[in-house]
Amino acid sequence: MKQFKTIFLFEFGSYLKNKAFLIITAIILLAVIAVPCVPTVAGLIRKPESERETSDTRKAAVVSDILTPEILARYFSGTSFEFMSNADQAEEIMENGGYKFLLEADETDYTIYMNNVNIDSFAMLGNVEDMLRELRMKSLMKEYGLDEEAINDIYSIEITGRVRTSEGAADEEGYFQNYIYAYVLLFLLYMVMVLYGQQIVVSVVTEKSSKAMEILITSAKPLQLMFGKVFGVGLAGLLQFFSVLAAGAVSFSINGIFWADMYFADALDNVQEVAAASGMEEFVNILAAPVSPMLFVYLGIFFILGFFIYAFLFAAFASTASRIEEGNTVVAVPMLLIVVGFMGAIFGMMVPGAMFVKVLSYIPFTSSMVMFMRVCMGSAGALQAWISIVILAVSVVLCAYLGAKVYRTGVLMYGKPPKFAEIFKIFLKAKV
Amino acid sequence: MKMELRNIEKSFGQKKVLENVSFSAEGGRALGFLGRNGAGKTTAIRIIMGIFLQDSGQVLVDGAPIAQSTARIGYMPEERGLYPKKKIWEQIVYIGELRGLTAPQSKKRAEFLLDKLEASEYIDKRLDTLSKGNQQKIQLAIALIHDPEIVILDEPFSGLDPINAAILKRTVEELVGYGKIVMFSSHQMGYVEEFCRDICILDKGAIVLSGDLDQIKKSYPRSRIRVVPAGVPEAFRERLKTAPFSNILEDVTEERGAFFLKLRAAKDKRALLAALSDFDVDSFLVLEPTLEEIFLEKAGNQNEAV
Repeated sequence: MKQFKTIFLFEFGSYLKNKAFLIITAIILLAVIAVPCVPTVAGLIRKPESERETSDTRKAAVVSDILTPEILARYFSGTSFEFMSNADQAEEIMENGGYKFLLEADETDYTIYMNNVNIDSFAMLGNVEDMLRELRMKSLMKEYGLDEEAINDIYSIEITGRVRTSEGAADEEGYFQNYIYAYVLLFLLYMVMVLYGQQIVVSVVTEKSSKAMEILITSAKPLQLMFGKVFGVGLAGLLQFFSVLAAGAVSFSINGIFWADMYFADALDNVQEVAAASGMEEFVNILAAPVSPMLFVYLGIFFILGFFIYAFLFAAFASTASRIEEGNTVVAVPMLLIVVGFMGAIFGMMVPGAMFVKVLSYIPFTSSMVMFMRVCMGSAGALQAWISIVILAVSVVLCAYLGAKVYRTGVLMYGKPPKFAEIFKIFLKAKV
Repeated sequence: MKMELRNIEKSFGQKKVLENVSFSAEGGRALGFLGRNGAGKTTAIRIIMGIFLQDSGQVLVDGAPIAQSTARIGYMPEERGLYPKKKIWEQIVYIGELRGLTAPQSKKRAEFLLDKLEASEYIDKRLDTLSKGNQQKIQLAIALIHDPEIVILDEPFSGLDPINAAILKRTVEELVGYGKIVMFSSHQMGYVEEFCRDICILDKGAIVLSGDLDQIKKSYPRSRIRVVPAGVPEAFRERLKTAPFSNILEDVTEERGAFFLKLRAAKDKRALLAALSDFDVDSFLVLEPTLEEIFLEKAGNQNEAV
């Protein structure tokens, strides 16, 4: 055990002391912190404080007989409108009055004058058309003889609904709420496993090719060597990854309001309305909706177990290579498993009930991603999830044990890397 | 202290690598462990160290099976290797800790060894910035960090300049002087002859010769004589073709003014001496076989190209 601690500290320490590692981490951290700040800084530069419009008032001009302040407020909250008599010399009017746009509208036709066209322009056009359509529909309904009350009834229709799945234990809105998280988290899982799995491979093969292995193998038990390395490198990598993630999250949440400002350019306490106005309602709802903390528990469990099962496989297979060039070829099998897992999970999001998806969610080499996806989407309940977790945990231990056997023999083998069948024979015969 | 290998057998798959290998090494007397490349030396060493398990046979220390976990064996492999990009100091201390020393103990030993090997000035340097010879000194320090009782050195002198070779020699002599078991594997027969009282030759997985070197040499007939005549070689050369020389000599070769005479029988040495009394000679030397000659005879194949 003491050997493990020594090896772990050595591997972990040397990773952290590695200049390249530190520099790259620092650069990424900086980028991740700086990028969300861009709109903030840009916003501050564009308009000096004194002239800067307060974020909750935009001014616009409108030329129309049919539009009322009430309906304008409803569709363009946070914008104050000034009525003009006509739209002649629209540019002058806009510049003199500092208007964002000038809208000229009658019952079925409109023209909008803007300084430039950007992303929220399209959303705005949609709003204008919806607004005019509403007016037109109401006036038609009156023509057809509907009274005020009837019209109000029509406009206040509410439909409620829910989704229930045969296996799901997530709440009714599970599906919709969590699919974005599933996508993002799956991708992160995949990235981390591949990235840091590779680090382990490089570390093992470098030790072999520099013949450091000759000394190490005479000084410590192979099991300790493998574990020390996997945990040491793994931890350093995860630290790097999560610090970058955390920095990004913090930076984004601080600067997030300015992103909203740039794109929605409206009152920030009206995120919902703003989102509705620009058609991004669904997206915002999903992000803002409360996420069950259990999701993060599952994420943590699957992440850790998944990482280690691949890490041990990577270490074991890598030990059969003698040179860096061989490094990538020998770990083809574990890489394939990760890819299959990832693809299975993504595909399974579209066909959650498919048999192959269910099967993959229990096979330990792919379950970390596929079962996690199923949990996110609500197509697997707690029972299924925990069965899969137990299988996965047992498999991690098995892989560690078998991996150590292969490691022990593999590290002393130079020359052509053995084929998979030979590796299998080693599993059976070698002592740990 | 005595280490013994008894009837060690080892195969890798179909290939038999060690066959009925038995030899012993005693403390205070270095053992020269010789063999061609691929003879099985490294495998035997790895079995001693417990990296490989033998198929059958025993490794004993003072009569009892070696306890790999506690046995203190220091090994300097032929394939030198460590972390090229790390500092020397870090690596030595790390290996020391792995072998059971505490960090402070390891540091103290490291300092002591580096000082002794005259490599203290490199303490803070990266391994790959050192010359080959200096890297080797570091390897030796690592082999000895935990003050092992059994020391196995594989080609320790290769690539060393005379100064560093002398430092190494001194260190090995000290180890032997302390009564440690020292196993020495090298192709540089000169060094082996200097240090080792015992030798053991491995060829194609089997022991072809083992025992006390002096006795082995004595067991060879002393039938080779080196004579350097005082005068012109031509006269001497012609004379050798006639009696009594032609009767007692089996073979004559010449090399740079020296004549190598091979007697038909070792007992004819006195007859030769008598026959030479007519001549003025500068040098008369009875040659004992060199280790190289013994090795070539036992492990070489006369018909193979070198």
